[in-house]
Amino acid sequence: MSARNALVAVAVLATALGTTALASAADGGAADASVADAGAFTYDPPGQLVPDSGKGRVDMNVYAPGIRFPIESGPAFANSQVWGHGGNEGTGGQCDKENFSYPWHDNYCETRDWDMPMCPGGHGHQGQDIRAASCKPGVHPTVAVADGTITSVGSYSVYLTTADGTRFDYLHMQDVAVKEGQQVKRGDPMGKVSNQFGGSATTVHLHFNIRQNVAGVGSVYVPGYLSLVKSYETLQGLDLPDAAPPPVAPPPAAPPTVQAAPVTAPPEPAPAADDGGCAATGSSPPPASFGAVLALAALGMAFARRRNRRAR
Amino acid sequence: MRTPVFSLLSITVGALACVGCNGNTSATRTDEHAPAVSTSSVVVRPMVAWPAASSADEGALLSLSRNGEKTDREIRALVARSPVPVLAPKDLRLDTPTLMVEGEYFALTGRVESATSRATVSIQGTRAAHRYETVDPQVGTRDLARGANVRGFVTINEGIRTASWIENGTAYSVDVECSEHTDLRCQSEDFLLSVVAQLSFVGGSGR
Repeated sequence: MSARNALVAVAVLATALGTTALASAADGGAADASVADAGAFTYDPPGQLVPDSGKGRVDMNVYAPGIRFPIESGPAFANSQVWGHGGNEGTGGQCDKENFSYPWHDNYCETRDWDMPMCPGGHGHQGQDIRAASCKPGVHPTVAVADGTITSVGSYSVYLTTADGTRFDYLHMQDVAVKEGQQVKRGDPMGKVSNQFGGSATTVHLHFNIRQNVAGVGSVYVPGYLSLVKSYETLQGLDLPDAAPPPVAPPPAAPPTVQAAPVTAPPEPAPAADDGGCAATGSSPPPASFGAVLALAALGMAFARRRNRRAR
Repeated sequence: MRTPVFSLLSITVGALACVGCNGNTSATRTDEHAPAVSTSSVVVRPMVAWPAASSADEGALLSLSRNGEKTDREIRALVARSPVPVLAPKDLRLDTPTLMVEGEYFALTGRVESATSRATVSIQGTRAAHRYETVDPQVGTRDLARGANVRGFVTINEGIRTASWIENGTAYSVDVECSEHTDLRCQSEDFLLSVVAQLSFVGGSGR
Protein backbone atom coordinates (compact mmCIF):
# COMPACT_ATOMS: atom_id res chain seq x y z
CA MET A 1 0.00 0.00 0.00
CA SER A 2 2.22 2.64 -1.28
CA ALA A 3 2.49 5.80 0.77
CA ARG A 4 -0.84 5.18 2.46
CA ASN A 5 0.18 6.13 5.93
CA ALA A 6 1.90 9.23 4.77
CA LEU A 7 -1.17 10.31 2.88
CA VAL A 8 -3.24 10.05 6.01
CA ALA A 9 -0.80 12.08 8.01
CA VAL A 10 -0.67 14.77 5.41
CA ALA A 11 -4.44 14.81 5.18
CA VAL A 12 -4.73 15.33 8.92
CA LEU A 13 -2.33 18.21 8.77
CA ALA A 14 -4.05 19.69 5.77
CA THR A 15 -7.30 19.68 7.63
CA ALA A 16 -5.71 21.28 10.63
CA LEU A 17 -4.39 24.08 8.50
CA GLY A 18 -7.77 24.63 6.99
CA THR A 19 -6.54 23.93 3.51
CA THR A 20 -8.92 22.87 0.81
CA ALA A 21 -6.22 21.69 -1.51
CA LEU A 22 -7.05 18.06 -1.02
CA ALA A 23 -10.75 18.58 -1.32
CA SER A 24 -10.47 20.36 -4.59
CA ALA A 25 -7.99 17.98 -6.09
CA ALA A 26 -9.44 14.66 -5.13
CA ASP A 27 -12.10 12.83 -7.08
CA GLY A 28 -15.21 13.12 -4.93
CA GLY A 29 -16.96 10.23 -6.58
CA ALA A 30 -20.19 12.19 -6.86
CA ALA A 31 -23.15 10.02 -7.68
CA ASP A 32 -25.22 12.87 -8.99
CA ALA A 33 -24.55 15.75 -11.28
CA SER A 34 -25.73 18.26 -8.70
CA VAL A 35 -22.77 17.38 -6.56
CA ALA A 36 -19.77 18.55 -8.47
CA ASP A 37 -17.09 17.23 -6.17
CA ALA A 38 -17.50 16.26 -2.57
CA GLY A 39 -13.77 16.14 -1.98
CA ALA A 40 -12.00 14.13 0.65
CA PHE A 41 -14.03 12.68 3.49
CA THR A 42 -13.66 14.46 6.80
CA TYR A 43 -15.80 14.35 9.89
CA ASP A 44 -16.17 16.26 13.09
CA PRO A 45 -15.59 14.30 16.28
CA PRO A 46 -18.53 12.58 17.94
CA GLY A 47 -20.44 14.93 20.20
CA GLN A 48 -19.37 18.05 18.36
CA LEU A 49 -22.61 19.50 17.07
CA VAL A 50 -23.25 22.41 14.75
CA PRO A 51 -22.72 25.59 16.82
CA ASP A 52 -25.72 26.62 18.88
CA SER A 53 -27.56 23.38 18.15
CA GLY A 54 -27.19 21.91 21.60
CA LYS A 55 -24.80 19.72 23.51
CA GLY A 56 -23.75 16.45 22.01
CA ARG A 57 -22.66 13.24 23.61
CA VAL A 58 -18.95 12.61 23.40
CA ASP A 59 -19.00 8.87 23.08
CA MET A 60 -16.37 6.74 21.42
CA ASN A 61 -18.38 3.55 21.47
CA VAL A 62 -19.21 2.08 18.10
CA TYR A 63 -22.62 0.76 19.04
CA ALA A 64 -23.17 -1.13 15.80
CA PRO A 65 -19.76 -2.24 14.58
CA GLY A 66 -19.56 -3.72 11.14
CA ILE A 67 -22.80 -2.36 9.74
CA ARG A 68 -23.09 -1.52 6.09
CA PHE A 69 -23.66 2.16 5.32
CA PRO A 70 -27.43 2.64 4.88
CA ILE A 71 -27.26 4.53 1.59
CA GLU A 72 -26.23 2.43 -1.36
CA SER A 73 -23.47 4.66 -2.67
CA GLY A 74 -21.56 7.76 -1.79
CA PRO A 75 -20.98 10.49 -1.45
CA ALA A 76 -23.31 11.00 1.46
CA PHE A 77 -23.34 13.63 4.13
CA ALA A 78 -24.19 13.24 7.78
CA ASN A 79 -25.21 16.61 9.10
CA SER A 80 -28.09 18.48 10.66
CA GLN A 81 -31.40 18.70 8.87
CA VAL A 82 -32.78 21.39 11.18
CA TRP A 83 -29.62 23.46 11.56
CA GLY A 84 -28.46 22.88 8.00
CA HIS A 85 -29.36 24.94 4.98
CA GLY A 86 -33.06 24.82 4.33
CA GLY A 87 -33.84 23.65 7.86
CA ASN A 88 -35.99 25.48 10.39
CA GLU A 89 -32.92 26.87 12.14
CA GLY A 90 -30.77 27.23 9.06
CA THR A 91 -30.47 29.63 6.18
CA GLY A 92 -30.76 29.16 2.44
CA GLY A 93 -32.25 26.13 0.79
CA GLN A 94 -31.91 22.42 1.32
CA CYS A 95 -30.13 21.96 -2.02
CA ASP A 96 -27.34 24.38 -1.12
CA LYS A 97 -23.92 22.91 -1.61
CA GLU A 98 -23.10 23.35 2.08
CA ASN A 99 -25.44 20.45 2.82
CA PHE A 100 -23.54 18.26 0.41
CA SER A 101 -20.01 18.78 1.57
CA TYR A 102 -17.70 17.48 4.24
CA PRO A 103 -17.03 17.47 7.12
CA TRP A 104 -19.75 15.34 8.59
CA HIS A 105 -21.48 16.67 11.68
CA ASP A 106 -22.84 14.58 14.52
CA ASN A 107 -26.41 15.53 15.37
CA TYR A 108 -27.28 12.94 18.00
CA CYS A 109 -28.62 14.86 21.02
CA GLU A 110 -29.13 18.02 18.98
CA THR A 111 -31.59 20.28 20.76
CA ARG A 112 -35.07 18.80 21.10
CA ASP A 113 -37.57 18.60 23.91
CA TRP A 114 -37.70 14.85 23.60
CA ASP A 115 -36.62 12.65 26.48
CA MET A 116 -33.36 10.94 25.70
CA PRO A 117 -31.70 9.12 28.59
CA MET A 118 -28.28 9.07 26.95
CA CYS A 119 -28.12 12.76 26.07
CA PRO A 120 -26.53 15.36 28.32
CA GLY A 121 -29.46 16.94 30.09
CA GLY A 122 -31.74 14.07 29.22
CA HIS A 123 -33.19 15.55 26.03
CA GLY A 124 -32.23 15.59 22.38
CA HIS A 125 -32.33 14.22 18.88
CA GLN A 126 -32.37 10.44 18.69
CA GLY A 127 -30.59 9.71 15.47
CA GLN A 128 -28.41 10.97 12.69
CA ASP A 129 -29.57 12.89 9.64
CA ILE A 130 -27.88 11.80 6.44
CA ARG A 131 -28.18 13.42 3.05
CA ALA A 132 -27.47 11.42 -0.07
CA ALA A 133 -25.48 12.74 -2.99
CA SER A 134 -28.18 15.15 -4.03
CA CYS A 135 -31.38 16.74 -2.74
CA LYS A 136 -33.54 14.87 -5.22
CA PRO A 137 -36.20 12.66 -3.62
CA GLY A 138 -36.66 9.11 -4.80
CA VAL A 139 -33.29 8.83 -6.49
CA HIS A 140 -30.83 7.44 -3.97
CA PRO A 141 -31.41 3.86 -2.79
CA THR A 142 -31.10 2.85 0.83
CA VAL A 143 -29.97 -0.62 1.80
CA ALA A 144 -30.06 -2.94 4.78
CA VAL A 145 -27.20 -2.27 7.16
CA ALA A 146 -27.19 -5.87 8.35
CA ASP A 147 -28.95 -9.18 8.05
CA GLY A 148 -32.24 -9.06 9.89
CA THR A 149 -36.01 -8.85 9.83
CA ILE A 150 -38.23 -5.97 8.82
CA THR A 151 -40.21 -5.61 12.02
CA SER A 152 -42.31 -2.58 11.10
CA VAL A 153 -43.30 -0.59 8.06
CA GLY A 154 -45.07 2.59 9.07
CA SER A 155 -46.19 5.62 7.13
CA TYR A 156 -42.69 7.04 6.98
CA SER A 157 -40.54 4.60 8.89
CA VAL A 158 -39.07 1.16 8.36
CA TYR A 159 -37.53 -0.80 11.23
CA LEU A 160 -34.91 -3.45 10.61
CA THR A 161 -34.11 -5.63 13.61
CA THR A 162 -31.12 -7.93 13.89
CA ALA A 163 -31.06 -11.18 15.82
CA ASP A 164 -29.70 -9.57 18.96
CA GLY A 165 -32.63 -7.17 19.07
CA THR A 166 -30.75 -4.11 17.86
CA ARG A 167 -33.10 -2.07 15.71
CA PHE A 168 -32.17 0.22 12.84
CA ASP A 169 -34.75 2.82 11.89
CA TYR A 170 -34.99 4.31 8.41
CA LEU A 171 -37.22 7.38 8.24
CA HIS A 172 -38.62 9.54 5.45
CA MET A 173 -38.13 7.06 2.61
CA GLN A 174 -40.27 6.62 -0.47
CA ASP A 175 -40.58 3.58 -2.73
CA VAL A 176 -40.22 1.28 0.26
CA ALA A 177 -39.00 -2.05 -1.06
CA VAL A 178 -39.63 -4.28 1.95
CA LYS A 179 -42.58 -5.55 3.93
CA GLU A 180 -43.14 -6.53 7.52
CA GLY A 181 -41.78 -9.91 8.43
CA GLN A 182 -39.41 -10.01 5.49
CA GLN A 183 -35.92 -11.31 6.08
CA VAL A 184 -33.29 -9.14 4.50
CA LYS A 185 -29.61 -9.51 3.90
CA ARG A 186 -27.03 -6.81 4.39
CA GLY A 187 -27.08 -4.62 1.29
CA ASP A 188 -30.61 -5.53 0.21
CA PRO A 189 -32.68 -2.58 -1.05
CA MET A 190 -34.88 -0.88 1.53
CA GLY A 191 -36.28 2.14 -0.29
CA LYS A 192 -35.14 5.52 -1.48
CA VAL A 193 -34.10 8.63 0.37
CA SER A 194 -36.94 11.13 0.39
CA ASN A 195 -38.91 13.59 2.48
CA GLN A 196 -41.96 11.60 3.66
CA PHE A 197 -43.18 12.79 7.03
CA GLY A 198 -46.70 11.85 8.03
CA GLY A 199 -48.82 13.85 5.64
CA SER A 200 -46.27 16.61 5.33
CA ALA A 201 -42.75 16.93 4.03
CA THR A 202 -39.37 17.39 5.60
CA THR A 203 -36.13 18.02 3.75
CA VAL A 204 -34.81 15.18 1.64
CA HIS A 205 -32.71 13.08 3.97
CA LEU A 206 -32.50 9.78 5.75
CA HIS A 207 -33.06 9.96 9.48
CA PHE A 208 -31.24 6.93 10.83
CA ASN A 209 -31.60 5.60 14.36
CA ILE A 210 -29.95 2.77 16.19
CA ARG A 211 -31.97 1.44 19.09
CA GLN A 212 -30.45 -1.07 21.37
CA ASN A 213 -31.13 -2.71 24.69
CA VAL A 214 -28.49 -1.12 26.88
CA ALA A 215 -27.96 -2.91 30.17
CA GLY A 216 -29.50 -1.04 33.06
CA VAL A 217 -31.28 1.44 30.85
CA GLY A 218 -33.48 -0.55 28.49
CA SER A 219 -34.25 -0.04 24.82
CA VAL A 220 -32.83 3.35 23.97
CA TYR A 221 -31.62 5.25 20.95
CA VAL A 222 -27.85 5.00 21.07
CA PRO A 223 -25.33 7.21 19.30
CA GLY A 224 -24.99 6.11 15.72
CA TYR A 225 -22.48 8.61 14.42
CA LEU A 226 -19.29 6.60 14.84
CA SER A 227 -20.93 3.44 13.51
CA LEU A 228 -21.87 5.43 10.43
CA VAL A 229 -18.40 6.90 10.11
CA LYS A 230 -16.88 3.45 10.16
CA SER A 231 -19.37 2.06 7.69
CA TYR A 232 -18.89 5.01 5.37
CA GLU A 233 -15.15 4.58 5.44
CA THR A 234 -15.68 1.00 4.39
CA LEU A 235 -18.12 1.99 1.67
CA GLN A 236 -15.67 4.49 0.30
CA GLY A 237 -12.69 2.20 0.68
CA LEU A 238 -11.18 4.38 3.35
CA ASP A 239 -11.21 2.13 6.36
CA LEU A 240 -8.20 1.64 8.49
CA PRO A 241 -6.98 -1.71 9.76
CA ASP A 242 -8.81 -2.77 12.87
CA ALA A 243 -5.68 -2.48 14.92
CA ALA A 244 -5.48 1.24 14.37
CA PRO A 245 -8.31 3.40 15.70
CA PRO A 246 -9.42 6.04 13.21
CA PRO A 247 -7.64 9.35 13.49
CA VAL A 248 -10.29 11.06 15.52
CA ALA A 249 -9.12 14.33 16.87
CA PRO A 250 -9.79 14.85 20.57
CA PRO A 251 -11.86 17.99 21.02
CA PRO A 252 -11.29 20.77 21.71
CA ALA A 253 -7.52 21.10 21.44
CA ALA A 254 -7.26 19.17 18.22
CA PRO A 255 -8.30 20.18 14.71
CA PRO A 256 -12.06 20.39 14.29
CA THR A 257 -12.22 17.76 11.62
CA VAL A 258 -10.54 14.51 10.92
CA GLN A 259 -9.57 12.95 7.69
CA ALA A 260 -10.15 9.36 6.76
CA ALA A 261 -7.38 7.23 5.48
CA PRO A 262 -7.60 6.10 1.89
CA VAL A 263 -6.91 2.52 1.03
CA THR A 264 -4.83 2.54 -2.06
CA ALA A 265 -4.63 -1.07 -3.10
CA PRO A 266 -4.75 -4.63 -1.85
CA PRO A 267 -1.77 -5.48 0.30
CA GLU A 268 1.39 -6.15 -1.61
CA PRO A 269 4.04 -8.62 -0.58
CA ALA A 270 5.98 -6.96 2.18
CA PRO A 271 9.39 -5.80 1.08
CA ALA A 272 12.38 -6.45 3.21
CA ALA A 273 12.35 -3.90 5.93
CA ASP A 274 15.27 -1.65 6.31
CA ASP A 275 15.90 1.88 7.40
CA GLY A 276 13.74 1.52 10.45
CA GLY A 277 10.80 -0.08 8.73
CA CYS A 278 10.62 2.31 5.83
CA ALA A 279 11.44 0.14 2.88
CA ALA A 280 12.09 2.17 -0.21
CA THR A 281 10.55 0.92 -3.39
CA GLY A 282 11.95 3.48 -5.69
CA SER A 283 8.57 4.00 -7.23
CA SER A 284 7.89 7.30 -5.64
CA PRO A 285 10.71 9.54 -4.64
CA PRO A 286 10.32 11.60 -1.51
CA PRO A 287 8.96 15.03 -2.25
CA ALA A 288 10.91 18.16 -1.71
CA SER A 289 8.10 20.29 -0.41
CA PHE A 290 4.83 20.16 1.44
CA GLY A 291 3.01 21.22 -1.70
CA ALA A 292 4.35 18.21 -3.49
CA VAL A 293 3.12 16.02 -0.67
CA LEU A 294 -0.33 17.53 -0.94
CA ALA A 295 -0.42 16.92 -4.65
CA LEU A 296 0.70 13.34 -4.17
CA ALA A 297 -1.91 12.85 -1.49
CA ALA A 298 -4.66 14.13 -3.71
CA LEU A 299 -3.56 12.00 -6.63
CA GLY A 300 -3.25 8.97 -4.42
CA MET A 301 -6.74 9.35 -3.04
CA ALA A 302 -8.23 9.93 -6.45
CA PHE A 303 -6.50 6.83 -7.74
CA ALA A 304 -7.60 4.82 -4.74
CA ARG A 305 -11.20 5.87 -5.10
CA ARG A 306 -11.28 4.94 -8.77
CA ARG A 307 -9.80 1.55 -7.98
CA ASN A 308 -12.21 1.00 -5.14
CA ARG A 309 -15.20 1.93 -7.24
CA ARG A 310 -14.10 -0.46 -9.91
CA ALA A 311 -13.62 -3.12 -7.28
CA ARG A 312 -17.16 -2.66 -5.98
CA MET B 1 2.43 12.72 27.00
CA ARG B 2 3.11 14.84 23.97
CA THR B 3 0.82 17.63 23.02
CA PRO B 4 -1.46 17.33 19.98
CA VAL B 5 0.57 20.01 18.21
CA PHE B 6 3.78 18.11 18.72
CA SER B 7 2.03 14.99 17.58
CA LEU B 8 0.86 16.70 14.44
CA LEU B 9 4.36 17.89 13.67
CA SER B 10 5.79 14.48 14.25
CA ILE B 11 3.19 12.99 11.97
CA THR B 12 4.11 15.43 9.27
CA VAL B 13 7.78 14.70 9.63
CA GLY B 14 6.96 11.04 9.41
CA ALA B 15 4.92 11.61 6.34
CA LEU B 16 7.61 13.60 4.60
CA ALA B 17 10.15 11.00 5.45
CA CYS B 18 8.15 8.04 4.37
CA VAL B 19 6.24 9.01 1.26
CA GLY B 20 7.22 6.47 -1.30
CA CYS B 21 7.79 3.78 1.26
CA ASN B 22 6.01 0.52 1.73
CA GLY B 23 5.64 -1.20 5.02
CA ASN B 24 3.98 -0.54 8.31
CA THR B 25 5.33 2.87 9.08
CA SER B 26 3.06 4.29 11.71
CA ALA B 27 2.53 7.78 10.36
CA THR B 28 -1.20 7.42 11.00
CA ARG B 29 -0.81 6.56 14.63
CA THR B 30 -2.62 9.45 16.13
CA ASP B 31 -4.37 7.05 18.46
CA GLU B 32 -2.15 7.83 21.40
CA HIS B 33 -3.69 11.27 21.43
CA ALA B 34 -7.15 10.39 20.20
CA PRO B 35 -9.92 9.04 22.37
CA ALA B 36 -10.03 5.28 22.19
CA VAL B 37 -12.72 3.95 19.92
CA SER B 38 -14.50 0.98 21.40
CA THR B 39 -16.08 -1.50 19.06
CA SER B 40 -17.09 -4.03 21.61
CA SER B 41 -19.72 -4.35 24.25
CA VAL B 42 -20.47 -7.14 26.63
CA VAL B 43 -23.75 -8.77 25.76
CA VAL B 44 -25.60 -10.05 28.78
CA ARG B 45 -28.81 -11.98 29.06
CA PRO B 46 -30.64 -11.07 32.21
CA MET B 47 -32.69 -13.77 33.88
CA VAL B 48 -36.21 -13.64 32.53
CA ALA B 49 -38.87 -13.87 35.18
CA TRP B 50 -41.74 -15.65 33.48
CA PRO B 51 -45.28 -14.85 34.47
CA ALA B 52 -47.42 -17.77 35.50
CA ALA B 53 -48.81 -19.72 32.55
CA SER B 54 -52.26 -19.32 33.97
CA SER B 55 -51.97 -15.58 33.58
CA ALA B 56 -51.67 -15.77 29.80
CA ASP B 57 -54.38 -13.72 28.13
CA GLU B 58 -56.15 -15.99 25.65
CA GLY B 59 -58.23 -13.18 24.24
CA ALA B 60 -55.23 -11.06 23.38
CA LEU B 61 -53.53 -14.06 21.81
CA LEU B 62 -56.54 -15.01 19.73
CA SER B 63 -56.91 -11.49 18.40
CA LEU B 64 -53.55 -11.83 16.67
CA SER B 65 -54.81 -14.62 14.43
CA ARG B 66 -58.31 -13.27 14.11
CA ASN B 67 -57.10 -10.05 12.55
CA GLY B 68 -53.96 -11.22 10.83
CA GLU B 69 -52.78 -13.53 8.10
CA LYS B 70 -51.43 -16.30 10.31
CA THR B 71 -53.58 -19.04 11.78
CA ASP B 72 -54.04 -19.46 15.51
CA ARG B 73 -51.78 -22.49 15.40
CA GLU B 74 -49.04 -20.56 13.64
CA ILE B 75 -49.31 -17.71 16.10
CA ARG B 76 -49.11 -20.05 19.07
CA ALA B 77 -46.09 -21.79 17.57
CA LEU B 78 -44.36 -18.45 17.12
CA VAL B 79 -45.19 -17.30 20.63
CA ALA B 80 -43.89 -20.56 22.03
CA ARG B 81 -40.50 -19.82 20.50
CA SER B 82 -40.14 -16.39 22.03
CA PRO B 83 -37.14 -16.03 24.35
CA VAL B 84 -39.04 -13.40 26.33
CA PRO B 85 -42.62 -13.03 27.50
CA VAL B 86 -44.73 -11.87 24.57
CA LEU B 87 -47.02 -8.94 25.30
CA ALA B 88 -50.03 -8.02 23.18
CA PRO B 89 -52.84 -5.47 23.57
CA LYS B 90 -55.74 -6.68 25.64
CA ASP B 91 -58.49 -4.45 24.33
CA LEU B 92 -57.07 -2.75 21.30
CA ARG B 93 -57.73 -4.38 17.95
CA LEU B 94 -54.62 -4.36 15.77
CA ASP B 95 -55.36 -4.69 12.07
CA THR B 96 -53.07 -6.89 9.99
CA PRO B 97 -50.81 -7.71 12.92
CA THR B 98 -47.42 -9.24 12.17
CA LEU B 99 -45.78 -11.26 14.93
CA MET B 100 -42.10 -11.99 14.55
CA VAL B 101 -39.82 -14.02 16.78
CA GLU B 102 -36.13 -14.10 16.01
CA GLY B 103 -32.98 -14.61 18.00
CA GLU B 104 -33.28 -12.59 21.18
CA TYR B 105 -36.55 -10.77 20.58
CA PHE B 106 -40.17 -10.76 19.55
CA ALA B 107 -41.81 -7.95 17.62
CA LEU B 108 -45.49 -7.34 17.05
CA THR B 109 -46.64 -4.64 14.66
CA GLY B 110 -50.18 -3.75 13.69
CA ARG B 111 -52.31 -0.84 12.66
CA VAL B 112 -55.22 1.02 14.18
CA GLU B 113 -57.30 2.79 11.57
CA SER B 114 -59.40 5.87 12.02
CA ALA B 115 -61.46 7.81 9.51
CA THR B 116 -58.61 10.05 8.48
CA SER B 117 -55.40 8.42 9.64
CA ARG B 118 -53.65 5.19 10.44
CA ALA B 119 -51.61 4.60 13.55
CA THR B 120 -48.89 1.96 13.34
CA VAL B 121 -48.23 0.32 16.69
CA SER B 122 -44.94 -1.55 17.10
CA ILE B 123 -44.21 -3.59 20.20
CA GLN B 124 -40.88 -5.23 20.87
CA GLY B 125 -39.34 -7.24 23.68
CA THR B 126 -35.65 -8.06 23.78
CA ARG B 127 -33.56 -10.15 26.12
CA ALA B 128 -29.96 -9.52 25.09
CA ALA B 129 -28.58 -6.36 26.66
CA HIS B 130 -25.39 -4.58 25.66
CA ARG B 131 -23.25 -3.40 28.55
CA TYR B 132 -20.93 -0.46 27.99
CA GLU B 133 -18.48 0.77 30.55
CA THR B 134 -19.32 4.35 29.73
CA VAL B 135 -23.08 4.02 30.10
CA ASP B 136 -24.40 4.04 33.62
CA PRO B 137 -27.68 2.39 34.55
CA GLN B 138 -30.60 4.77 34.66
CA VAL B 139 -33.96 4.47 36.32
CA GLY B 140 -36.86 5.39 34.10
CA THR B 141 -38.45 8.74 34.68
CA ARG B 142 -42.04 7.65 34.22
CA ASP B 143 -44.57 5.41 35.87
CA LEU B 144 -46.04 3.40 33.01
CA ALA B 145 -48.73 1.62 35.02
CA ARG B 146 -46.96 -1.71 34.56
CA GLY B 147 -46.46 -2.48 38.20
CA ALA B 148 -45.00 -0.92 41.30
CA ASN B 149 -41.37 -1.50 40.38
CA VAL B 150 -41.57 -0.72 36.69
CA ARG B 151 -40.51 2.68 35.47
CA GLY B 152 -39.63 3.71 31.97
CA PHE B 153 -39.01 6.44 29.46
CA VAL B 154 -41.46 8.18 27.16
CA THR B 155 -40.24 10.11 24.19
CA ILE B 156 -41.07 11.23 20.69
CA ASN B 157 -38.86 10.78 17.67
CA GLU B 158 -39.76 12.57 14.44
CA GLY B 159 -43.40 12.43 15.44
CA ILE B 160 -43.19 8.78 16.51
CA ARG B 161 -44.06 8.35 20.18
CA THR B 162 -42.15 5.73 22.10
CA ALA B 163 -42.25 4.21 25.55
CA SER B 164 -39.60 1.83 26.84
CA TRP B 165 -39.17 -0.03 30.07
CA ILE B 166 -37.67 -3.14 31.65
CA GLU B 167 -40.06 -5.73 33.00
CA ASN B 168 -39.34 -9.30 34.10
CA GLY B 169 -35.76 -8.96 32.87
CA THR B 170 -36.90 -7.99 29.38
CA ALA B 171 -36.50 -4.64 27.63
CA TYR B 172 -39.80 -3.67 26.06
CA SER B 173 -40.76 -0.80 23.85
CA VAL B 174 -43.87 0.48 22.10
CA ASP B 175 -43.87 2.90 19.18
CA VAL B 176 -46.88 4.73 17.78
CA GLU B 177 -46.59 6.40 14.40
CA CYS B 178 -49.42 8.23 12.67
CA SER B 179 -49.90 8.65 8.96
CA GLU B 180 -51.12 12.19 9.65
CA HIS B 181 -49.52 14.49 12.18
CA THR B 182 -52.94 15.85 13.02
CA ASP B 183 -53.97 12.43 14.35
CA LEU B 184 -54.80 12.92 18.02
CA ARG B 185 -53.16 9.59 18.83
CA CYS B 186 -49.84 11.19 18.02
CA GLN B 187 -50.66 14.69 19.21
CA SER B 188 -50.29 13.58 22.79
CA GLU B 189 -48.85 10.60 24.61
CA ASP B 190 -52.22 9.45 25.93
CA PHE B 191 -52.81 6.81 23.29
CA LEU B 192 -49.28 5.46 23.65
CA LEU B 193 -49.62 5.18 27.40
CA SER B 194 -52.98 3.46 27.10
CA VAL B 195 -51.45 0.85 24.81
CA VAL B 196 -48.57 0.27 27.21
CA ALA B 197 -50.87 -0.07 30.19
CA GLN B 198 -53.08 -2.67 28.54
CA LEU B 199 -50.37 -5.00 27.25
CA SER B 200 -50.97 -8.51 28.48
CA PHE B 201 -48.76 -11.53 28.70
CA VAL B 202 -49.75 -14.06 26.05
CA GLY B 203 -46.95 -16.62 26.27
CA GLY B 204 -43.39 -17.47 25.41
CA SER B 205 -40.82 -20.25 25.46
CA GLY B 206 -40.60 -20.18 29.23
CA ARG B 207 -44.28 -21.12 29.50
